[in-house]
This record gives sequence, structure tokens and C-alpha cells, in this order.
Amino acid sequence: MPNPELRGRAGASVLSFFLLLLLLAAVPSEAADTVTIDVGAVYASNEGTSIDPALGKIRGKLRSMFNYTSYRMLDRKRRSLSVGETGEFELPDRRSMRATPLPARGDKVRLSIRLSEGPRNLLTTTLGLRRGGMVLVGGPPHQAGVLILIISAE
Amino acid sequence: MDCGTALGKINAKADGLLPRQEEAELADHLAGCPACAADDAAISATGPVLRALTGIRAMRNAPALDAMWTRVRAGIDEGRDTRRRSSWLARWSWIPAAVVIALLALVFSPSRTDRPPFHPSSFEVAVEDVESDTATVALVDKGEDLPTVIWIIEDAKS
Amino acid sequence: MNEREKGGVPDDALIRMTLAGDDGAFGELVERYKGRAFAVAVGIVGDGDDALDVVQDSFIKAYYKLKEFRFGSNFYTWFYRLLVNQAIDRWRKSARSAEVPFDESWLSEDSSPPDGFAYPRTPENLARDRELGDALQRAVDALPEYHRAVIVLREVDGMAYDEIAKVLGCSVGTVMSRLHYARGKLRETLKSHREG
Repeated sequence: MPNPELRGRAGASVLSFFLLLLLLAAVPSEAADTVTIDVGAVYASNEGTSIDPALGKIRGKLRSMFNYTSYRMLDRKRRSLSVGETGEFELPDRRSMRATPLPARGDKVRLSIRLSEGPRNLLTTTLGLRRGGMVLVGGPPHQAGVLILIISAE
Repeated sequence: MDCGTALGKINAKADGLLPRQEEAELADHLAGCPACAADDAAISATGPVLRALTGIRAMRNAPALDAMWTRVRAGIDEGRDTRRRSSWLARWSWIPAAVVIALLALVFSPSRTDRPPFHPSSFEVAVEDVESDTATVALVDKGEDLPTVIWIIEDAKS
Repeated sequence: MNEREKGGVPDDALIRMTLAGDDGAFGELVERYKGRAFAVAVGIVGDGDDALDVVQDSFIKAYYKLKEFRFGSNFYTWFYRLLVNQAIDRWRKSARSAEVPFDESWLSEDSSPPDGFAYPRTPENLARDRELGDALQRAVDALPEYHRAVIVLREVDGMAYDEIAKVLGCSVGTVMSRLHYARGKLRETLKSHREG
């Protein structure tokens, strides 16, 4: 009699393979004149002392800038947007961020960013940064601490 | 003794593998050869200078190093929770979980936290305008080595 | 057994206690080796924050792999194998192609070169000679990973050649040749600094 656990694992492997194909088909290819916006949502608090390794080189920067003892990456999203195209990023606690690349020269990127919580406009800003650059937007409460968004543009 | 042989003996001395008699012969050569003497000084100094370099980093990171067991213990506890959840899910939930993943993959763009860590190449930012209907916004710029922060202080909240 | 008594307990006993469910015993192992582990990690990855993460991740990995430890062998050699592999992986992932300047201005305001030494041999003296610190850090970063690991294990940790060979999974001959190569590169950096 076949081992049900083995049969279950084989089925999971086959399904995972087809799901991977599905995912790859859904990935948009990079085009010219696009800006890739990467948004990391970080939960900063004084609960514990762990600092998420996924934060990479900016761990030390976060420790220098804020007095929180713990930083955990909750989510990270990435969108490739053409100039003028608006992308929406869902964030924790019913918040969302809409970002639109604006015309810019050379290796500069200009972004129009709107951060909302339901119908409330928390922030509207226009930023200019270099490709590969980064800016932080923080302060909205989350659980026992705050949310800090790490926004970078490539 | 030629300089090529001397360099070999200098390395052997640094490794603690040079017999005493050969040490004396080497010392004679070094006394009359400034180039080999410079090599000997540099090779002998490698260890102490590297340890000094490490010492600087250790002093700077001392508070975090003191808290290492706290961090490790937190990581161990987190690992235990993950393993408990994984074992339950692996046994009972792979079918509905697979269906949910398929639907999410179709509806949303890929979203992962396991990409390579952040590596910003610049913190240079120009804030052209900023406004809020429901909060006070502060701009914090602590210099070019730190990212600019736009800090939102929601009205009626601290 | 209370915390103070654990101080003189051999590594093997602490490992057995950990496997029996006493996490505090593992804490004693962490306290015992975290300093040396950090020195090795920072020598390989070059960055203090990365080194702290490497040490943390290595201890966590060691905890979960502890049942694979062979009693009678050295814990620190077994642990260092995990540590060096973690450090090299971290180095590769961080892709430190951009040069990170050696900036320890917080340690000393005085930027004049040290007196009375051919080379600075203490952290305080080296901090005053920022140019040398910068040059040496670049030279270490430029070494291939396993050559860097060898020179750090030998010169910073003082590990014996046969132990280094066990940690890196290679022969003593390979350890010696990597060590001589690394020394040669660092020697050139030190000499050119002295010659100004």
C-alpha cells in the first residue's frame, strides 16, 4: 500500500512546480524608461533587541537614527512603473502608498508619493533622488511601535 | 644568503617554524639588507596590526556584543515557533495553501522579503514639497551618511 | 547548577546540558566564544554590524545543529566552521564592491601619526593612523574569501594550522600557501605605507 505521506509530498512537489511556472509568467519584464520602486515596511519598537538581517546595510543607520531597540521587516514590495504611471502598495493597518514616477533628467528619479490610511491623507510629497537612492517615511503607529517605510528607487 | 631565501625564512619565522640556528643566520642577513629588514618588519607587524583593526571594531560594537546572548536566545525562540508552525502546516494544509498562493500570484505582483538586503548607493534626497491633511510632518536630515527621514506625527496622537 | 558554577564547566558538559534542555548552558558557550567569534567575523566581512549578525546567526545555527556535534572533538573548531561559512556567505551576498572607508574618528580626535612605533600595534595607535587603517582594510577586503579567512584565523585568533585546516576543510599545505599569499599582499600595503 503506497505511503500516503509520500504521495502527499509528491503531489505538493508537482503542484509547486506548476505554481512556479504561473508565477514566472506573471512577472513583468523590465522596460526602458521605467523606475523600479522598492518599498520595505519595517516595524520599529522597543520589544526585544532583534534587528532583521533582511535590512542589510541600513541596520546600523536605523540604530544611529532612532532609539528603538527592535526592527523587523513586515513586508517588502517592488513595482516597475513608467513615468506617469501610478502604482499602489498595500501597507499594514489599512494604509496604502501610491507612487508615481515624474519626468526627471539623467540618473535622477522624481517621485510623487501619497500615503493614506483609509480616506485620510497622511502625507503627500514630491521627492527627487538618485537611482539607487533611498528615503525613509515613518511615524504611523503600528502595534507597540511605529511603521517605517524604506523607499528606494532604481 | 640571498634575498629570495631570506624571504622564505622570514615567513617560516612568522609561522614559528624556523630552527634557532637559522634564525641567527637570518638576523645576520637582515642586519645588512634594508629591503629584507623592511619585509621582516612588515610581516611581523601583520598580526598585531590586524588585531588592532579588529580591536577597534570590537570596541565600537561592544554594547551590541554584550547583548549577544539576548539576541541569540530571541532567534532560538523564533526558530522554535517557526518549526512548530511548519510541522503542523506541512501535514494538514498544503492543498488549501497551494490554492491561495495560486490566486495571489495571479492577482498581485511578486512580493518577497527574501531579496538581497538593502544596499542604497545614495542618501541624497531633494524634498520638493510635502503636505498632510491629518498630521504634522517633520523633515529630518542628519547628513549625507544617513537617510533623510520624513516623520509623520498624526494629529491627536503622540 | 547556578550561573556562576557554569563558568568553569568544560564545553562538552555544557553541550550535554543544552541537549538535555538547559538553554542557559548554551548561553555560557555564547559568552565564552562571542568575543573571538566577533573578531574572526569582522576580519572576514569587514563591517561590525554585519559581523554581529554573522555571530548571532552562527550561534543560532549551532544551537539547532548541536545534536550533530561529535563529543571528544573541539567545540570551537566545529563552531568556527559554521561561523566562517556564514561570514563568507554574508560577504558574498553583501557584494562589497564599493569601498567602505575606514572611519573611526569617534575613537580619537588626534590625527597625527603615532610616535615610536614602526607600525601601530594597538587600536588606539591604529585609530590615529587612519590612512593605514583604511589601506589595510582595503587590502584585507581585496583578498579572496578563503585567504582572508586563513589570515584572520591565524593572525587574529591565533588558531593552529591543523585546526584552521579542519575549520576550512582543506589540507595544512593549502592553509600555509593561502597564508603566505595573504601575508604577501598585506606586507606590500604595510611597506608602502611606511615608505610614504
